[in-house]
Amino acid sequence: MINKLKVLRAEHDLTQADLAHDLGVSRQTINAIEKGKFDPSLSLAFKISRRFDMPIEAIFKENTEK
Amino acid sequence: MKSKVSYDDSQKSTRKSLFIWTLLWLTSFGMTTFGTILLWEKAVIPSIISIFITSCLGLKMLGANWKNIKIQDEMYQKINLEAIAKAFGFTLLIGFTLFLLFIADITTIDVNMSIIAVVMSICYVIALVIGQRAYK
Repeated sequence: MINKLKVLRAEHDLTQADLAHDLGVSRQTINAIEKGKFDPSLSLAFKISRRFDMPIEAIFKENTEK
Repeated sequence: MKSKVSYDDSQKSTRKSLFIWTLLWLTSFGMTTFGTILLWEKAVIPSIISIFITSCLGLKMLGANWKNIKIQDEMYQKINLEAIAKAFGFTLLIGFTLFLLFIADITTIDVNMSIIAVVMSICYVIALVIGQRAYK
Protein backbone atom coordinates (compact mmCIF):
# COMPACT_ATOMS: atom_id res chain seq x y z
CA MET A 1 0.00 0.00 0.00
CA ILE A 2 1.24 3.52 -0.78
CA ASN A 3 0.17 6.57 1.17
CA LYS A 4 0.37 10.36 1.31
CA LEU A 5 0.96 10.54 5.04
CA LYS A 6 4.34 12.26 4.83
CA VAL A 7 3.00 14.93 2.46
CA LEU A 8 -0.11 15.53 4.58
CA ARG A 9 1.98 15.74 7.74
CA ALA A 10 4.25 18.33 6.11
CA GLU A 11 1.24 20.33 4.84
CA HIS A 12 -0.19 20.42 8.38
CA ASP A 13 3.23 21.31 9.82
CA LEU A 14 3.28 18.28 12.12
CA THR A 15 6.25 16.26 13.32
CA GLN A 16 6.07 12.47 13.41
CA ALA A 17 5.91 12.74 17.21
CA ASP A 18 2.95 15.19 17.06
CA LEU A 19 0.98 12.92 14.74
CA ALA A 20 1.88 9.85 16.80
CA HIS A 21 0.60 11.59 19.94
CA ASP A 22 -2.66 12.59 18.22
CA LEU A 23 -3.25 9.05 16.98
CA GLY A 24 -2.10 7.30 20.18
CA VAL A 25 0.67 5.30 18.53
CA SER A 26 4.48 5.37 18.62
CA ARG A 27 6.58 7.68 16.44
CA GLN A 28 8.23 4.58 14.99
CA THR A 29 4.85 3.36 13.74
CA ILE A 30 4.22 6.66 11.92
CA ASN A 31 7.71 6.40 10.39
CA ALA A 32 7.08 2.80 9.27
CA ILE A 33 3.71 3.74 7.71
CA GLU A 34 5.28 6.69 5.85
CA LYS A 35 8.03 4.46 4.49
CA GLY A 36 5.47 1.86 3.40
CA LYS A 37 6.98 -0.79 5.68
CA PHE A 38 3.85 -1.17 7.78
CA ASP A 39 0.23 -1.09 6.63
CA PRO A 40 -2.08 0.33 9.32
CA SER A 41 -5.24 -1.46 10.42
CA LEU A 42 -8.60 -0.16 9.21
CA SER A 43 -9.15 1.38 12.64
CA LEU A 44 -5.90 3.35 12.50
CA ALA A 45 -6.53 4.31 8.86
CA PHE A 46 -9.90 5.78 9.93
CA LYS A 47 -8.18 7.73 12.73
CA ILE A 48 -5.69 9.11 10.20
CA SER A 49 -8.45 10.07 7.77
CA ARG A 50 -10.34 11.84 10.58
CA ARG A 51 -7.18 13.63 11.71
CA PHE A 52 -6.66 15.10 8.22
CA ASP A 53 -10.38 15.34 7.44
CA MET A 54 -9.98 13.37 4.23
CA PRO A 55 -11.43 10.09 2.97
CA ILE A 56 -9.26 6.99 3.46
CA GLU A 57 -8.95 6.39 -0.27
CA ALA A 58 -7.48 9.88 -0.73
CA ILE A 59 -4.65 8.99 1.70
CA PHE A 60 -4.05 5.29 1.01
CA LYS A 61 -3.83 3.58 -2.36
CA GLU A 62 -3.16 0.01 -3.31
CA ASN A 63 0.33 -0.48 -4.71
CA THR A 64 -0.40 -2.23 -7.99
CA GLU A 65 3.28 -2.36 -9.02
CA LYS A 66 4.03 -5.24 -6.61
CA MET B 1 -3.69 21.52 26.09
CA LYS B 2 -3.62 17.76 25.57
CA SER B 3 -4.63 16.00 28.77
CA LYS B 4 -4.49 12.48 27.31
CA VAL B 5 -1.63 10.32 28.63
CA SER B 6 0.79 9.89 25.73
CA TYR B 7 1.63 6.52 24.23
CA ASP B 8 5.25 6.77 25.42
CA ASP B 9 4.22 7.64 29.00
CA SER B 10 1.83 4.70 29.28
CA GLN B 11 4.54 2.45 27.82
CA LYS B 12 7.03 3.60 30.45
CA SER B 13 4.54 2.92 33.22
CA THR B 14 3.69 -0.64 32.10
CA ARG B 15 7.35 -1.48 31.42
CA LYS B 16 8.27 -0.33 34.93
CA SER B 17 5.51 -2.52 36.37
CA LEU B 18 6.67 -5.50 34.28
CA PHE B 19 10.28 -4.95 35.40
CA ILE B 20 9.30 -4.83 39.10
CA TRP B 21 7.10 -7.98 38.98
CA THR B 22 9.74 -9.88 36.96
CA LEU B 23 12.41 -8.90 39.48
CA LEU B 24 10.19 -9.98 42.39
CA TRP B 25 9.36 -13.31 40.72
CA LEU B 26 13.03 -14.02 39.94
CA THR B 27 14.03 -13.15 43.53
CA SER B 28 11.29 -15.38 44.92
CA PHE B 29 12.22 -18.18 42.51
CA GLY B 30 15.87 -17.96 43.59
CA MET B 31 14.96 -17.88 47.28
CA THR B 32 12.63 -20.88 46.86
CA THR B 33 15.30 -22.85 45.00
CA PHE B 34 18.10 -22.17 47.49
CA GLY B 35 15.79 -22.22 50.52
CA THR B 36 14.37 -25.64 49.64
CA ILE B 37 17.87 -27.10 49.31
CA LEU B 38 19.88 -25.17 51.91
CA LEU B 39 17.58 -23.55 54.49
CA TRP B 40 14.54 -25.71 55.22
CA GLU B 41 15.98 -28.84 53.57
CA LYS B 42 12.87 -29.86 51.61
CA ALA B 43 10.47 -29.51 54.58
CA VAL B 44 6.95 -29.65 53.11
CA ILE B 45 5.21 -26.64 54.74
CA PRO B 46 7.92 -24.00 54.05
CA SER B 47 8.34 -25.41 50.52
CA ILE B 48 4.60 -25.17 49.78
CA ILE B 49 4.37 -21.63 51.19
CA SER B 50 7.43 -20.52 49.23
CA ILE B 51 6.24 -22.16 45.99
CA PHE B 52 2.77 -20.61 46.48
CA ILE B 53 4.26 -17.12 46.91
CA THR B 54 6.49 -17.62 43.83
CA SER B 55 3.49 -18.78 41.78
CA CYS B 56 1.42 -15.76 42.87
CA LEU B 57 4.26 -13.42 41.91
CA GLY B 58 4.54 -15.30 38.60
CA LEU B 59 0.84 -14.66 37.93
CA LYS B 60 1.31 -10.96 38.67
CA MET B 61 4.31 -10.95 36.28
CA LEU B 62 2.17 -12.59 33.56
CA GLY B 63 -0.55 -9.99 34.14
CA ALA B 64 1.98 -7.16 33.83
CA ASN B 65 3.37 -8.71 30.63
CA TRP B 66 -0.14 -9.09 29.20
CA LYS B 67 -0.91 -5.44 30.04
CA ASN B 68 2.40 -4.39 28.48
CA ILE B 69 1.54 -6.14 25.20
CA LYS B 70 -2.08 -4.89 25.18
CA ILE B 71 -1.01 -1.27 25.60
CA GLN B 72 1.45 -1.41 22.69
CA ASP B 73 0.35 -0.01 19.36
CA GLU B 74 -0.54 -2.33 16.49
CA MET B 75 2.92 -2.37 14.90
CA TYR B 76 4.66 -3.34 18.15
CA GLN B 77 1.97 -5.94 18.85
CA LYS B 78 2.70 -7.41 15.41
CA ILE B 79 6.47 -7.38 16.08
CA ASN B 80 5.85 -9.06 19.45
CA LEU B 81 3.52 -11.70 18.01
CA GLU B 82 6.02 -12.55 15.27
CA ALA B 83 8.86 -12.72 17.83
CA ILE B 84 6.83 -15.02 20.12
CA ALA B 85 5.94 -17.30 17.18
CA LYS B 86 9.57 -17.49 16.03
CA ALA B 87 10.84 -18.09 19.57
CA PHE B 88 8.28 -20.86 20.13
CA GLY B 89 9.09 -22.52 16.79
CA PHE B 90 12.86 -22.36 17.18
CA THR B 91 12.68 -23.58 20.78
CA LEU B 92 10.64 -26.62 19.72
CA LEU B 93 13.05 -27.32 16.88
CA ILE B 94 16.20 -26.92 19.00
CA GLY B 95 14.64 -28.78 21.94
CA PHE B 96 13.60 -31.82 19.90
CA THR B 97 16.91 -31.84 17.99
CA LEU B 98 18.84 -31.88 21.29
CA PHE B 99 16.51 -34.59 22.60
CA LEU B 100 17.16 -36.76 19.52
CA LEU B 101 20.92 -36.17 19.79
CA PHE B 102 20.74 -37.11 23.49
CA ILE B 103 18.87 -40.39 22.97
CA ALA B 104 21.26 -41.25 20.13
CA ASP B 105 24.16 -40.71 22.61
CA ILE B 106 25.68 -38.09 20.30
CA THR B 107 25.48 -35.35 22.95
CA THR B 108 25.42 -35.35 26.74
CA ILE B 109 23.15 -32.27 26.91
CA ASP B 110 19.98 -33.44 28.63
CA VAL B 111 17.11 -31.12 27.63
CA ASN B 112 15.45 -29.72 30.74
CA MET B 113 13.28 -26.74 31.67
CA SER B 114 16.21 -24.38 32.29
CA ILE B 115 17.70 -25.05 28.82
CA ILE B 116 14.28 -24.56 27.18
CA ALA B 117 13.78 -21.26 29.05
CA VAL B 118 17.23 -19.95 28.07
CA VAL B 119 16.84 -20.97 24.39
CA MET B 120 13.35 -19.44 24.22
CA SER B 121 14.49 -16.17 25.84
CA ILE B 122 17.47 -15.83 23.50
CA CYS B 123 15.33 -16.63 20.42
CA TYR B 124 12.68 -14.12 21.56
CA VAL B 125 15.16 -11.27 22.08
CA ILE B 126 16.88 -11.94 18.71
CA ALA B 127 13.50 -12.11 16.89
CA LEU B 128 12.36 -8.91 18.63
CA VAL B 129 15.51 -7.00 17.58
CA ILE B 130 15.24 -8.30 13.99
CA GLY B 131 11.53 -7.37 13.90
CA GLN B 132 12.19 -3.85 15.16
CA ARG B 133 14.94 -3.32 12.58
CA ALA B 134 12.66 -4.56 9.77
CA TYR B 135 10.14 -1.78 10.43
CA LYS B 136 12.69 1.02 10.87
